[in-house]
Amino acid sequence: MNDSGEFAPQCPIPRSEYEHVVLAHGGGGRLTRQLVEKMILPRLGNEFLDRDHDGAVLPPQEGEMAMTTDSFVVDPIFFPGGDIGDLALNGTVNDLVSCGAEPMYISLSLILEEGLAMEDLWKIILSIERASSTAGVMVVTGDTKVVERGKGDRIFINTTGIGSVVPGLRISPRHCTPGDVVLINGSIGDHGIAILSARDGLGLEAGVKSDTLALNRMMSVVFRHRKEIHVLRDPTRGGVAGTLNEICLASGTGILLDENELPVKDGVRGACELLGLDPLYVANEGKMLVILPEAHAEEVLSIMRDHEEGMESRIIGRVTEDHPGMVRMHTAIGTTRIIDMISGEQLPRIC
Amino acid sequence: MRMARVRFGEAVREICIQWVPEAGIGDYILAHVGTALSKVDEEDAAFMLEALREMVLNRTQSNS
Amino acid sequence: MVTSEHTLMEICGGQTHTIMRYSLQELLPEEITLIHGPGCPVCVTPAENIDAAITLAADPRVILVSFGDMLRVPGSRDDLLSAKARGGDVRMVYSPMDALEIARKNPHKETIFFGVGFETTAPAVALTIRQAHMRAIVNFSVLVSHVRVPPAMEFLLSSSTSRVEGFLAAGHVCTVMGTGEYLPIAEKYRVPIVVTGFEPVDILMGIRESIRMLEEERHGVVNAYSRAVRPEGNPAAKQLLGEVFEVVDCRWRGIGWIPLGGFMLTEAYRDFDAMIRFGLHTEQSDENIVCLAGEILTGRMIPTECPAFSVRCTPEKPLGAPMVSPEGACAAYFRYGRHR
Repeated sequence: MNDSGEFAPQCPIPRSEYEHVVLAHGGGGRLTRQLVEKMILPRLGNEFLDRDHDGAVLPPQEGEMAMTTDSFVVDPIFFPGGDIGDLALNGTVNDLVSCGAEPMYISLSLILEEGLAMEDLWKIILSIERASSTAGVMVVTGDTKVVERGKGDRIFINTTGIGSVVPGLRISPRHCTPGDVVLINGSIGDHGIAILSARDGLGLEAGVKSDTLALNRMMSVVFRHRKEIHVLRDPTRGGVAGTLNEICLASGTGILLDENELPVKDGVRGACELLGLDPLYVANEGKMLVILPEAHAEEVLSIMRDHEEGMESRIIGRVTEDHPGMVRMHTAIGTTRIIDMISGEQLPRIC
Repeated sequence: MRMARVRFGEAVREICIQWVPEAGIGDYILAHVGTALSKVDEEDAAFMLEALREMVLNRTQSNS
Repeated sequence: MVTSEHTLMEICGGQTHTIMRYSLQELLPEEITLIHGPGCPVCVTPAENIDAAITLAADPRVILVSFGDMLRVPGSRDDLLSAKARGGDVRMVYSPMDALEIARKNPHKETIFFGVGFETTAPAVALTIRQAHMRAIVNFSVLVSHVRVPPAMEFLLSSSTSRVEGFLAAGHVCTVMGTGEYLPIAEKYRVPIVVTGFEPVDILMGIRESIRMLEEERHGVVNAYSRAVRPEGNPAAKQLLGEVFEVVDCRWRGIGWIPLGGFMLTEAYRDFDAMIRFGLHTEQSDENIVCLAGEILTGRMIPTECPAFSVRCTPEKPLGAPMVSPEGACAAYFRYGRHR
C-alpha cells in the first residue's frame, strides 16, 4: 500500500497550465475534456471508458447481477495506508463480494472542490488505478463536477459497482443459523484509528495503517470451494459490533463472541484506550465477516490464510439460538456482557 | 516544561512529565489528559497482572 | 465470607465503565450491591455551563475547545455538536495543552477551553493556564467547571436516605490529592473508604477490602491502589492546583449545591476566566423534570428503575446527562445491562 503523500516517480503528473482545479473543469466544455483526456483516460482507460459515450454499454452476462453504490467523504483524504481513491475502489469491490458476486465494472463520480491541487487529484487517480488493477475490475464510466471553494471538502467520490453473482451462493443475513461460526480475516479497528491519527489535534502516533484492501481475490477462491456460506458483510462504519448487531436483528438469531479471539493490533489497542474507544465499534476497510456452518470453517480458514489479506483469519464467535437479536461476548475475564448497537457517530467522516 | 514521549500499548503521545521527576526512560507512568500524575510501581503492577491471569484461569476452569 | 448484605458505592466514571464492561457484578455474591455514584464529571456539569459554552461557540471570534465526551451532552436546549453544526468553531482535544497550541496558532481569535473534570484533570488545566500566563498568550481563556470529590461524598453520606455503607474512592483522583482528605470523612461517618484502581482486578480487590472491613466492623481509609497512589498524592501537582484554583461552593447537575464542591480561578489568574472576559452570567436553568438524574447520581435509584429508561430516554434521545455521557450510569446500563 502506498503511504500518503507519495506517488511513484515514474508517473509524473501530466503538464497542464492549471495547478489547481477551477470551476471550468466541471463545466462540460474544453477544460473538462482536457481533465479527462490528460488525467483520467491515460490511467484508467479501457475499451469501455475510451468509447466516449455518456455511459458504458456492457456485454451480456449469464446469471444474476449484483449492484452496489457508495459515496466517500473521508477526512483527511490522505492517511496512513491509503487515500480516498483506495477507499472508493476497494469499498465498492468489497460490497459486491458481500453479495456473493465477482466484481466487474465500476463507475466513478468525482465531485471536486475549486482549488483542489492537481497533484492531489493525480495521486488519487493513481491510487484508483492501482486498486482497480489489483482487484481486476474496470472503471467503465464516470463523471466530474466541480463546486465552488468552500462548498465541498476537497473531493467527494461516488462509486457504483456491478458484479456477477457466483451461481450456487445464497448469501443473506436471514440465512444466519444457530450452530454457524463467525470468521474474520484479520485485525479490527485499523482503519478508524489510522484516520484519527491523521487528524490534527489529537497528537497521536499510533503507527497504524488503514487496512483498505480489495478482498475479492481471496473470496473468489473461497466461493469456488464452498457454496454453503450464509452471510458475508464488511464491517465498515459501526465496526464489527454494529455489523453483527444488524445481522442478528435481520436473522433473529444471537451471536456470542469470544474476546480472547478478537485480533487487535497493539497500536489500535493503545490508541483506543487513550481515546476511550472500543475496537469493536471502530471502522474497518479491508475486513470481511464470514458466517457459515461450523463443518466447513476449517477448510475456509485454510483457504483464507493462504492469502496475504487473510493470514490472520480466525473464528471469533458463534451463532446461537439464545438471546435472539442480540450480540454478547465472553469477556477476557470470563464474564459475559452485551455488545450493544452504538447510537450516533462515534467518529465522523471515517469513510 | 519537561515533556516525554509515552507509549500506550503501541500508540505514542507526548506527555508532560514535570510532576513525576523520578520517572526515567523505560518507567511506567500513569497519565491523564496529557500530564503524568504518578510513577507506577512495576512490581506491584506485575503482581496485579498475575492476579488477573489467575482469576481468568480459575474462571475458565470453573466454567468448563 | 459475606455474612450479611452490603451496599457499596464507587464514585468514578472510569470504574463504573469497567464494572459494566466486564460484568463484574456477575462475579460478586448476591449480598453485595454496587451503586454507581456521581463519578462522571460530564454528567454533573451544570446545564447552564454548557449553555454558556454554546453561547461562546456561536461567537465568530471564538474557537471553543473541549474534551470529546462533552460534545454531545445537552445543556438546557441542545449540545456543542449542534452548535458546531450551526457553524460554531468547536474542536475536540485530548489534552488542555493542545488548546493552548490552538490559541497560539490562531492569534486573531479567542480560544476558550471548556474545563470539565475532577481533581485528576484540574491540574492539567492549571498547568495550561500557568503556561498561558508565563508565555503571555492573551487570546486564551477557560470556562471553568471543575469539581471535587470529597465534598460530594460527604453530601451523600449526610443524607438520611443514604444506603451507602462503604466507598470505592477514585484511584486517579487520589494520585493527585492523596488519601488525606478522606480520613475525616471515614471517621465522621464511620465508613470504610478504599482507594481503588480501574482494572477489573483492582475493583474486585477494592470491593473485597471494603467488604472485609464492613464484616469486621472497621472503618477508615485503605489504599488498594498503592502501585500508583501515595498517601501524600503528587505534591507538585497539588501545589500548582492550589496556586491557580481555589475552592468554592457550586452546583452539581441533578444534585444541587455542594458546599466547597468546586473550583474557581484565584485572583492572580482570574483574567483567564472566560465568563468574566465575555461578561456572561449563568442563570440556573430548568432541567427536564422527567429526568431523574439526581436520584441516579446519588445512588438512590438504579437506571433500570427509572420509568423513562430505555423507553423515552435512550442514548439517541437522552433526557439527561447520565444517558449521554459514555461514563454515565444510565448509558452504561443501557449499553451493557439493560437486558438483565
